[in-house]
Order: sequence, then structure tokens, then C-alpha cells
Amino acid sequence: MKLEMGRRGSSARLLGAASLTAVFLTACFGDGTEPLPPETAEVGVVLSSTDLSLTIFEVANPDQTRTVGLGPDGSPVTMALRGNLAAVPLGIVPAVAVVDLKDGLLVRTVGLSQGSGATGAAFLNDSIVLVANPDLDSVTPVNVLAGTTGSDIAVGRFPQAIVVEGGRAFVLNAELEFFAPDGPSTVSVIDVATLQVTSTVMLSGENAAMGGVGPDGRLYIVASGSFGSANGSLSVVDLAGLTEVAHHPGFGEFPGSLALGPSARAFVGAFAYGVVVWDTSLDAFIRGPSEALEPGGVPSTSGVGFDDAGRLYTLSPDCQNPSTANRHDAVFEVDVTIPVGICPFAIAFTAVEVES
Amino acid sequence: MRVSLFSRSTTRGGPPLRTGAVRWCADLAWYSGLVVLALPGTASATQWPGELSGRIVDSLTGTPLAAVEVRVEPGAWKTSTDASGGFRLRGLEPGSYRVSVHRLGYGTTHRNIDVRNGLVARVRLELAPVALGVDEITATVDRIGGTVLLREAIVGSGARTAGDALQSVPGIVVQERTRGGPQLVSVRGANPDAVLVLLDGVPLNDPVTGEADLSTVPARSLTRATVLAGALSARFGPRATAGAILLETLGEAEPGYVSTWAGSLEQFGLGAGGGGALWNGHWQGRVEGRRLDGGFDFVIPAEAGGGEAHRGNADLVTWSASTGWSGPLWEGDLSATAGFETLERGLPGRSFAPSSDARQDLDRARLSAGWNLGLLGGGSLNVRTYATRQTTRFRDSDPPFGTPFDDRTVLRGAGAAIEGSIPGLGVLRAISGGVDLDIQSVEGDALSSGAPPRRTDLGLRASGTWSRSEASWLVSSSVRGHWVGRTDRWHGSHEVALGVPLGPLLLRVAHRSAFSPPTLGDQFFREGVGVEPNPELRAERVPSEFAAQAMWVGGVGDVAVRASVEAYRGDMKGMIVWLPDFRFVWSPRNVDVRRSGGEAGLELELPGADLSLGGSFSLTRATYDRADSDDVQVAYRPRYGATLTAGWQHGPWSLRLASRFTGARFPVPSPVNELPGFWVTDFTVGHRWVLGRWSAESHLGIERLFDVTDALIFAYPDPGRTLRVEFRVGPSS
Repeated sequence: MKLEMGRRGSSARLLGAASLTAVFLTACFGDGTEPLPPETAEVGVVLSSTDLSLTIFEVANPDQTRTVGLGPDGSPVTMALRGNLAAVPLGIVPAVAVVDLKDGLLVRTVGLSQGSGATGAAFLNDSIVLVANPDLDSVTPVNVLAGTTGSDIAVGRFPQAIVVEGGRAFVLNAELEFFAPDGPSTVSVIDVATLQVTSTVMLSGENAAMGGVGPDGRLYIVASGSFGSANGSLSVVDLAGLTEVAHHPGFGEFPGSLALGPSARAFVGAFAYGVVVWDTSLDAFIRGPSEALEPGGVPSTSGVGFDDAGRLYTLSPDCQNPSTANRHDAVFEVDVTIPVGICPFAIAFTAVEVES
Repeated sequence: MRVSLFSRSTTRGGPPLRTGAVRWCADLAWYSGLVVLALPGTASATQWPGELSGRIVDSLTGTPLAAVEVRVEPGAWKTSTDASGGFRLRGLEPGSYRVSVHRLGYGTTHRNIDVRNGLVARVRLELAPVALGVDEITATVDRIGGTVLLREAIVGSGARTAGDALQSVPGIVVQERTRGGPQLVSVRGANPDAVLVLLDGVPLNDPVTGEADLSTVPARSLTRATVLAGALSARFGPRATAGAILLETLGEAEPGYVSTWAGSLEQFGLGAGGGGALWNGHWQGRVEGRRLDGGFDFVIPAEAGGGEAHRGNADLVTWSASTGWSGPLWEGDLSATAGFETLERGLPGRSFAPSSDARQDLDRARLSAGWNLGLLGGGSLNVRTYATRQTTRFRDSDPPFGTPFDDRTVLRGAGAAIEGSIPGLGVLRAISGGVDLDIQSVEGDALSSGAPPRRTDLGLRASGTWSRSEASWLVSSSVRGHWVGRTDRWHGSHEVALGVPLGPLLLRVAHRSAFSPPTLGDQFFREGVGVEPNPELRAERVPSEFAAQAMWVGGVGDVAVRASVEAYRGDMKGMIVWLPDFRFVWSPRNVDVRRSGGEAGLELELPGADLSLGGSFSLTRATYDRADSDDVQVAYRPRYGATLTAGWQHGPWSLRLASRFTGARFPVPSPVNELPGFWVTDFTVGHRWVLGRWSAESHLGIERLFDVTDALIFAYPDPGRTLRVEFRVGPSS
């Protein structure tokens, strides 16, 4: 009986000490208004098409990589990132793979309409991804958290990239027929709130492949052109007037990737020559195709991207062996090489939560 | 992964076909003439009266067999073969005799012979390595490292096709995308086009893809199937880079039969066959028809988005017929076969992108003949020839990818080989050499205009056998020079093997090399959406393969035991693999692959319990030869495989349970997205009745007893458990 009382006394003392400690910690470290935001770290994500994988690396420590398989079949060439999630349209497999970048796990695969050709995606918010179905001339809203899809939305012919900006989604329609250009590209504008196509922007270039919004608020679109015709171009769309305000030819043979960097620079990657640099304020090449950057001395790249620190990354387009992502320094020399999968096609960056 | 589908996804168009019944018959007549012309002329009669001269050879290797017991009846004549496999009996009265030959480790075979006054009757017989005498033991390892499936084992397994029958062989992976669909065979991690398949000596490998479709050969037609793994170009020429499969339809005469079967997937079949004495030899023939609806409901894998769907366009209608005759001709022995196969089937495509209109048609006619002459003094002459004509058509008016296509390919092929051997001196037991010529003519919409219309191959081969005595060590060697007309290049290959018998244990080591030029399809298929030929492809080569084998045949108490283990290392240079480029255009490309592994098998026969048990395990390490990693398994090559079989036969009843394990595999050339391994189990039960002069058999077969629906290749669903009931009647033998 004494023993039991003694225990009760000890417990009471411990409880009191814990309460005091909690009050002290709260007073010292809490602001008393809201919980702390989760701690994040920037990661780079590389999509490799042949081995159907994502390579995830921490920007601050690129030596450490993690590989996540996307599934046994598919031909993915595009992806969308937001926070902890990546959504990867699987190409010939009519589905979207959803990957948790924090845990490095394939969370689910969400089916699309048969014959989708799933290529091109962009997050509308934390849960909805808009995915393009090039073979069905439509896009599909996908809830990546619930694993459900909404109704398909008809757009132009062969949509293969999507850019979201200011409550609108801009669907880049390549206007291909049997995988070859069949006229100038178009942009279908979708109101994110209603998921209705509100207008269509006519472009001058053929085979619109990639787009992004620059610091000037304009939409820049790389048109690959026809393979072998060296007719790649860059279109500039005014998002207020929804018109193509400029079309710049001279981007050479089949450019396919775009990254809008700091200081009004657009970096356009091409398999045929490397990376060209376009000044968006002067509307002129800083380095054109004839003097393109050659990452690691190789005049070819399959993807470009910038991290938050403004460092350029390029992808070496090796489709037979495991390849590399290259980080460049201020003078565009390769300073870090990151091993990735076979046939890397896209690189992007996001901030993922990390354990405190 | 070899994606041969792409070679068929080509654009519409091409020259009009010059096919038709008249053209076909003309071709066949031409080939028939070729076969006859290839035979040597009549030999002159000799001056030794009433003699019987013969030669016995190993049916797999053609190696002369010494110490074979030869009995001739009536008269109780008895002798044995010499070191060159020859024998001679003099003083025989004119008349009909039955020649029986037997040798330890081989089966027994018979032949009826007419001995005429003033003439030497010559006979050449082939002896097959013996299997354990129990039907349920499906395979036996022969003396040279191959696996032999005999007719009883093939029929008892319930196999529908040659591909079904070979699935139990260690080291073999049969790629089947749907029941009733094409069956391609991979040996030891190589591509299917690195495996030469001969049906009665006629190459089955398609000239466009290089692959042989084993689904076109009914299992019931086979008297024997021999699987030889390893780099065997020295023996068989190009295409045998990873192995050779010899399918034979002519053998011991089978009593006449009529059979019918029906089962799941709306399958139905009819078959009939028979044989008997004809002229001085014997004939046999068979005909079989089979149809299958093939449709079933299935679950789309979660990795492809999930859901449910119906598998349609998986139907099959096929007919086949073959006949053969063997007997004496012009002082030698002739065996000749003719066969015809025709089929039409749907090609349903992948589960997430089905093809509702894709179809395949195939018509194939073939003739082959072999003539053997035993020469005085122990030599021999062997002449083989074949001719074939094959028409294939792939069409899809609404493919899920690319543009509509309707491609026909017409192949005409003919070949001849002459080989002679003479006895050696001392430890050099025999020397042989030969020449073979193969000519193929290909017309096809699927090929580009730059494709050569004809391919001519010429091979020169020499071999020798060394041994101190029949019971001691044996060294055999072969070397081949092979000229490929398309590239105007000579390729060399070799094989050297040492066998050492140690009582019931046989040890064997071998060193080999092999090569296989790219197929027409790899280099010259018509460019289409997302696919592009690669004229720069190099030949696949196995420059150095080392293999070691140990086999033990014996008994433990009343239990008969056969155990074998084999290990190999044979890297492949320039394996042809389909890969995309930076535009995502797929092409065949050369990739170096490291290959090593082994197979082990154990077979037990428990006569007291009427029980037989067997098991095997295979390890196939086929990895990309990369600078930074050497352990990435080639896509869709399971590293591990295994089989377990159990058979019970008591009186009229027979039961068989066979399980097969397909190991984990990667669908991509990286160690990600692994597909898990799986077991499947097949079950058959049979009963036999004898009603006077007639006998009847019934069989119930259940494939995938436990309803496993996994498949080797992702997105090609399997229906799981299916049933088939067969009824067969014929004269009791």
C-alpha cells in the first residue's frame, strides 16, 4: 500500500514537471498564433523514359540520389511537380503515375481514357493535375490524391504540354497528324475554375512542344518544327490579349525543352546542338544554335532546368545506357554530374518536406 | 526487350503481290524437283552376294556409334558395330529380315530389310539417347548436353504446341503473349532469333524477324524434340548463337488414331494419324485442326491504370498436316517428310491498348529429305535437302499506335547439305566434312526497297573425333567457315568438347563460338511511325563460350536416378535489342551482354510406387555489359527458373502434376519496375480402355490449376485456369 501511494506521488511530480517544461518551451519557441510550416528542401527530379523511372536528388547534396520506378510499361516524356508530388503521364499507357517525392514511392497510377497517349501535365492546385491526351485531342483533370478523374475536355489537335498561370491553363496543341506537323500550333485556354475552354490562340510555329511563363508575364512556347527541317521557333504570347505577339524562327533542328532562367533569359535545349540562350527583353539570341552551349563538350541535350539558386541543369540524351544530369556553374561549365536513368527527357525542381 | 511488333507496324503500300494458287503450285513443283535432283544417282550393284552392310549413328550428333548390338532375324544373326559405327553380315539368303539394334544408353530401333541375291543391302539407322522408361518423366539429358523430349512425354504433358512442350526444359523461356498466340523461345537469356529451330531439317526461323514461332507446330505431330543449348554455329550454322531446337515428326510408326478435344476459351480440335508399311519402308501421316475463341474477362493491372476489360480478337483457327516415308533407296536409306501448316489468328495487343483488328495469316509448305549411305570401310555419305514456301500476312486497319498496315511476306527457301565421313587412324576415330548451301528469296511489303531480295549462305564444316577406346575419353571438334552473301563476309565458329566417362558419371567440357547476322527485318523493315531500321547493325557473336557438364545415371536401391548439372559462360557481343533514340524512335541496336549461369536437374523413378518425380533449376545471368554496372539483367529475362513434376501411372490410370516457376524479371533495361516471379501448375489425368482390338483414351487437362493469371510479359493477360477434355481412339497396339 505504501508502495502504491509512493508511485502516485512520483507520477504527480513528473506530471507537474512536464507541464512546466511544456509551458517554458512554448513561451520560448512558439509564436502563439499558428503551427510552424513544414521544413522543406529543394529536390531535382529527372524523368528517364526508357527505364521508366524518376531520379530524385537533393539540390544541396546531389551526390545522393533515389530512383523510383513508374511502372512496367509506358513512354513518359513529361511530368509535373508540386510540393511532395510528381505526376507523370505514361505515354502509350493511358495513365498517370503519381509519385511521393518525399518518401520516394509510387503512390498510385490513375487510368485515363483508352488511347490517350498521355503526354503533358500541369498542377492546377495541390490535388488536381490537368493531363493532356494527344491521341484523343483532349485533356483530363486528375485528382492525384483521390485517384479519380473528371470528364475529358476537348482541346486542339495533339495537345502535348500544359502551362498553368493566373487561374488559366494553357494547353499547347502541336496539331500533328500521324506524328508529323499538319499546320501551325494552337493554344487552348482553359479557365481553371470552370474547366471550360475559353479561347484559342493561334501560333505561327509548328509542333508546339514546351512552354513557360517568363518574368515579364508572357508565355514563351518552343515549337520543335518538323524533324530534319531545322525550323524550330519560339513564340511569345501576351496573356492579357491572348495573342501571339512575336514569333522568332532560327531555333534550328528540333528544339524540345525550355527553361526560363534569371535575368530575362530563355534557355532552349535541342538534341541537335545543345542549349541556346535567348534574351527575352531584347528578343535576340545571346547564343544561337551555331554557338550553342555544349554541356560537357557534347552538343546535345534532352532537357534543361533551373534550381532556385539559378543554376542551370542539362540532361545528356543517352538512350542506350544510364545517362547523367549536369549542373553548370556561372560560366556554364559542368561542375556536378548526377547519374540518372536511361534516356532522360525532363528535369524539374520542387520543395519537398523533410523531417525536422 | 526484343519488340518485333514494331517491325510490323509499318506504313501502308508496297508492290502488288504475285501470289495465288497457280504460283504456289509452280513453286512447290520447282522445289519438289530440287529435292529430287539433290539426290545422288543410282549406285552400281556390287559383287558380294547376300550381304547386309550397315552403319549406326547418334541421332543427335551424327557421330558413329561403336559397340551397338545388331540382331538380324530370322536366323539369329548377331554382330556389333566397329569404331566407325559400321557392321557387315555376309552369306544372307535372299529374303526379308528384321534388323534390331540396341546399345546401352540408347533406345532400340528396328528396320525391315530386303536382301537380294547378288546385292549388298545397306542400312543406316539412328539411335536416340534413351529416356527413363516412364512417361511422366518429361525430359532426359542426352550425352552431349541437350534435352530430349520423346513422343510419349510430349503427349503425356498435355501440350498443345511445340512451345507448350518445351516450357518445362531448364534454361528455356517460351514467350507467349496470349493463348493461341505466337510462341517464341529464348535460350539462356538470348533473343529468340538466336535460337535455330529445325522442323524435320527445315528452318522455322522467319527470315524477316529471325524468330521461330513454335505455336505453328502441333505437339501431337512430334516424335521427338531435342533442345541443344549453347553456341552451336559450328554444327548448325548461323542463327544457332544460343542454341538449336530440333523438331522431328518422323519416327517409329504410330498406330492409327482419331482424337477430338474441347475445352475452355471455346477451344475445339480434331486430329487423326497413322502409319504403316509402304514399299520397302514405312510411312506415317497426321492431320490436325484446332480452333479457339480465346476471349476472356480480365483485370487491367493497377500499373496501367486498373479496371476491367474483355480480351477479344484472340481467336485462332489452324490446320496442319504432315506425312513422311523412310526406307531403303539406292543402296542407302531415305527419309522424306512433307508438311503444311496454315493458321489465322487475332493479335489482341496489350491490355491497355488492345488491337481489335490486328490479324495474322500464315501458310507454310515444306519438304525435306535425307539420304544416308554407308560406305565400305566404315565411311558414310549423308545428303540432306529441304525446300519451303511461307506466306505471312500481318494487318491492322485501326492500330492503337501508328498507321494502318497490311504487310505480306513471301519466303521461298531451299537448302542442301552434303557430308561425308571416313574412319581415322589410331586415336583419331573419325573425320568428317561437309558443305551446306541455303538460299532464301523474300518478297515483303514490310521491307524497304533497299532490302536484298535474296540471301545466299554457304557453309563449310570439318570435324574430327578422337578417342582411345569406346569406354574412354572422347574429344570431338568442329570448325565452320560460313559465307553470308548479303554482307559478302566469312564468319568462323568452332566447337571443341571433351567427354570423360567415369562409371555412371559422365563429365564433359566444351568451348565454342557462334555468330548470327542481323535479320532482314532488323536492317531493312520499312520505316514507319516511331520505328526506323538500322542498316548498320552488326552480327550477334558469342566469341568464347565455355560449358561444363556432369551427368550421373544410376540407382539408389530400387529408385532409378538421373542427375545432371551444367554451367556455362558465354558473353554475347552485339546482342540486337530494340531501343529508342532521343526522338523516341525505336530501332534495333547492338548491345554487349554478359551471360553465365547453369541448369541442374534431378529425375527419380520409383517403380514400386508407380511414381516418378522430377525437378530442375536454372540460373540465367544475362546482364548488360556496362562500364559502371555489371548486374543489370536484360529486360524480360528471368534470372531464375524451376520446374517440379510428379507422375503416377497405375494400370489404366495416369496422373501428372507439373509446376513451373518464372522468376522475377525487369521490363526495362534497369533494375527498376521489377515484375515478381510466379508459379503455375498444370494437372492432367488420363484413363485408357482396351476393347478388343481397339483402345480408347480420355484425358482431362487443367492448365494453371490454381488460377494464376501472371504472365511473363506485362500487359499481356492470361485467362488463368482452363480445362480441356480429350478423347482418342485407335487400334490397340
